[in-house]
Amino acid sequence: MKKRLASCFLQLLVHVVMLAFLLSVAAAENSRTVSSPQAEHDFGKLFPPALDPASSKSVERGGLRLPVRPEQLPSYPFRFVVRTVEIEELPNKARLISYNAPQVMGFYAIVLVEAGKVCDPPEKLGLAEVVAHAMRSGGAGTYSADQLDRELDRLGATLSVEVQRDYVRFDLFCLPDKAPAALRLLHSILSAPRFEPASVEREKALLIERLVRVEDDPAELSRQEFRKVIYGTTHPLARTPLPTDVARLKRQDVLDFYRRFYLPSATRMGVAAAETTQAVQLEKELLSAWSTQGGKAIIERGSVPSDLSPASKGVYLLPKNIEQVYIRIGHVGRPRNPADQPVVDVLNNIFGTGGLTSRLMQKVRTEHGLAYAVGGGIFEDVPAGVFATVGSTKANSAADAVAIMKEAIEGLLGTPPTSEELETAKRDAVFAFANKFSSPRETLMQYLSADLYGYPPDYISSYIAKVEAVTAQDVQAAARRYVHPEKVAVFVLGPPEVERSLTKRWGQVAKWKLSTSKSALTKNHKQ
Amino acid sequence: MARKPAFLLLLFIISLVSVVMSAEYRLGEKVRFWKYENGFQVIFLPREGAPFFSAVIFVNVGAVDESVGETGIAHLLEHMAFKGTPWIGTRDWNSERKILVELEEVAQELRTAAIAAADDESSAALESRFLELQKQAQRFVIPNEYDRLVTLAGGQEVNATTSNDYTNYFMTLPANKLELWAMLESQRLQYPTWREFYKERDVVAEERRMRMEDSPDGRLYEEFIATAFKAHPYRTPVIGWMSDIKNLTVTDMAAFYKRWYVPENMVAVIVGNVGEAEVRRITNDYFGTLPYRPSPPRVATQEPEQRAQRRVQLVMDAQPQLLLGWHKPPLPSRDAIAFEVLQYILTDNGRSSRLYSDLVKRRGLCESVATFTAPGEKYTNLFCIWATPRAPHTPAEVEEAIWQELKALARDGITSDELEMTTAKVEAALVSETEANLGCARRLGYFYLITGDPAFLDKYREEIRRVTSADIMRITSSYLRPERATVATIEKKTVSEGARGRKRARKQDDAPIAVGSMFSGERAQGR
Repeated sequence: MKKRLASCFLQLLVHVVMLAFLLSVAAAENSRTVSSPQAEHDFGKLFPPALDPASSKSVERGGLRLPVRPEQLPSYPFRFVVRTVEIEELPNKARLISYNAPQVMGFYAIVLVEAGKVCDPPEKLGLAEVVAHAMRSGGAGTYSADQLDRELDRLGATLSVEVQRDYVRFDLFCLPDKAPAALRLLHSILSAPRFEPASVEREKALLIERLVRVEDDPAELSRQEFRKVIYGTTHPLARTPLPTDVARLKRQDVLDFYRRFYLPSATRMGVAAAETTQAVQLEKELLSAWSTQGGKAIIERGSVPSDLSPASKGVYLLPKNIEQVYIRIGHVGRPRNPADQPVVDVLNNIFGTGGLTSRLMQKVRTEHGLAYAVGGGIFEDVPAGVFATVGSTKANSAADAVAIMKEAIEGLLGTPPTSEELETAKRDAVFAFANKFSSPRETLMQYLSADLYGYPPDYISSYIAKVEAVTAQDVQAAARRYVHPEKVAVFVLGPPEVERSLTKRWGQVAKWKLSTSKSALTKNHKQ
Repeated sequence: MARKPAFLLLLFIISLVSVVMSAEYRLGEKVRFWKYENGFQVIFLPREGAPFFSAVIFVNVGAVDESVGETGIAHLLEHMAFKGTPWIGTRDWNSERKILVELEEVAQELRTAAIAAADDESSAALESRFLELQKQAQRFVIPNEYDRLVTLAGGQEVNATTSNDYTNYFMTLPANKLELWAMLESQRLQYPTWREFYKERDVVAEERRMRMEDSPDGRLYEEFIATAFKAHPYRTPVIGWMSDIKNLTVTDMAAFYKRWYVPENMVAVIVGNVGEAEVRRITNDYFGTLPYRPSPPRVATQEPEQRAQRRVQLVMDAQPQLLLGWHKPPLPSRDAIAFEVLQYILTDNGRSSRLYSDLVKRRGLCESVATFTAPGEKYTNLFCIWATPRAPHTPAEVEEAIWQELKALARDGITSDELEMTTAKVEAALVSETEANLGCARRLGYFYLITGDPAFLDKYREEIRRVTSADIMRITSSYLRPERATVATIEKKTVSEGARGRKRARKQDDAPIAVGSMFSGERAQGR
């Protein structure tokens, strides 16, 4: 009996000891999963140490005490003066801008001709692009297409052509000693393009290829289709050519378009170099020798969609099997108006063009981690530009991202800029503007585009002062004038399955059809 | 025969003119370089002009230095550098720090739980605690204060990039903000706080979706590189694999930072309108005092010689593409310089370059064609040709045409005209690239990291001039061989494949088809 009792006691003791051991192990485990001093010590090493009163104001390194905040640094005066340029109008109405800057190493010439995509006849879309590229590639003056290419390349020159909505830009760069020869070639292209038939056909084929490949670029595809949503698919500011439109173009169309739009009176040229006297003299001779008949063509830019295009309000989905959704929210924007450009620049900076400090970045990227790229703003055009909020995120965040972006739009009206936002945006606008004048190309483009759009002569010289004078009330007033949250269209390009979450959150979602056939051009807005 | 001396004299005059002219652009000889005791290096190029300077901090660490399982960490670290320090971006560092320490502890437990496939309940509790701590930490954060301070100081072009070879942080500032730049940069290099780490990790995941998953070009490039490299870490994408990105923690990041962000691995490049004495004083105080830490050893793995052609084909809903590559040595070797010239001969000499002229202009096979070096320049890399076929032509037709061109080059070499054109183009391209302070600073720093020569810009020009037709024949015949090629293509999914694809998981549907296996066993494809 005693033996049995002793045995039971022993067993009990063993169990108690085991239990105690197990409990202690569990407790130890538990203490590790909560916050043991040991663990904190280890993880603490990953971070800079806590600050004491001395190190909170400065940091000691190499026997020096270094400041840690910008306010602790001495303030030095800074003055930036925008360099002026010479603008001259020649008897044939061509306009010439020259910019001398001793530190410039290369030679730059930019030509803007008012022959952009908006000049396309409605039944001949794509013509402006084919013409501009065929001018560059199709021979000029006494040079065949190949000879022209070879001559430019032997000079080490680059001559690119870019076709924008409003203008075609020819951009020449070479070393200064090659400038006279390169300028002569550029002028042959402008005034005596040969449009060799093979080049015209090739440029048509290349444009068709580029149009087809837009579908491989979700960001560009969404930009293109969003414009159609808000302006209407056939509006001059939104339409895009179909491959079949381009295929139908004839060489005669190219010649007619060139004769109609490539006129000295529609041409602005700018040259920049350390010394431009000789180039300007040559340029005057070349430009003056360019004579054409007929007046400047009237360009049809369409009207402002009535009531900001009520047909476009709502949520649109263009289904595509991709990982992210590409979101665009907005409506028709503002007409071109240099008077309120400074305040709009500040507003845009606060809203979405100001990088990480903008409200959209702050909300969508920094606060919610939903997107890498997000931005937006109110953009000008004639008769009216676009107000757009743009971002991309993973498919299952689509509805949330739309909500946050819409909230940011509403916030433009409801939440006036803080003094910090205003100050940051104004500084950014001022220095972004000033920094453009560090580049010869950008300097020329600033003056050429101001001239092209008929901005007042003091627009550039007074811009910085006008930005500095912008108040929070000005920003609010501009937002009220140009932003209408109740009229926005939401355009989403993304996988078909997002339709469910969008519908759940935003009601009916209309399917947007890609304009790959003529029928899509009219169907979309009937939904 | 009598004409020969006159011809030689003419040649001498031409070459003399070329030498005298290029002296104007010899920036390398104006470059100042010094190194502090802790190993930190400075490259300085003073310049007149607008009162601004551009500065770039190069950290000699890139994706190539990452370990298995932590791909993308160098790039994510670059993002984290914008999150501030104990003095910038926080309302109270000491309080914030406590929460960050605990947050990291929970993050590690979550990772352990995920690996151990812990039960849902305990994982959910950890997840909830993790989110709660993130919220608590956020209360102390002043979002994007670093960016705001730089903006208020007039900072422009503020950004950073990560490559396989290096990470670089850059900006342009008014000339009176040199000390502010040095203070901010030295501070973030030494005291990263890992603030908002886990949200930024999500942002990078979105960046990957945007740049790689949704971009046919991105996907083609990723598959191409992973196929071309078997052993060398150049094979992994800079942005990282998605599963690695999602698993990175502050613990990983801090260890990577501690190992690689040492002064010896850092170079500051400053170009602009600031004085040398000021640059020396300020860089000495802020960077020369960073504590010394030894620099870790570099990648020792060498890519084994490729003996069989490798091919990878992506069948997806995108237009066709073709990408070819061959292993070649890095700069500054003589062969690498010859490849630089070959790049101009094939595509960069403009419209008269061989591939453009033949594939785009004459035969109409392509929409565009480009050559470049990838994925880095420090180690054995790839000479690449990227062609965009023009419908109805296929990648196979374009590839065949490229092989014909390479065969002709290997057999016949190049003409003196082509060499002359290349010299002119290189000269102009370098002037164009270094015209702006930021472009110049990035080029100087890049060349220095790759070659160890702060004035390599000038040497590069000289070396380019020494390349002969025989060099081109030699590199073409010895490196650009069929059995040494990696070929990647995108083939457009046909309608019937698309219909079948809808029934399958999309990931599988778009998965690359590794046809490289047909050449396994080192069987070279005959041609």
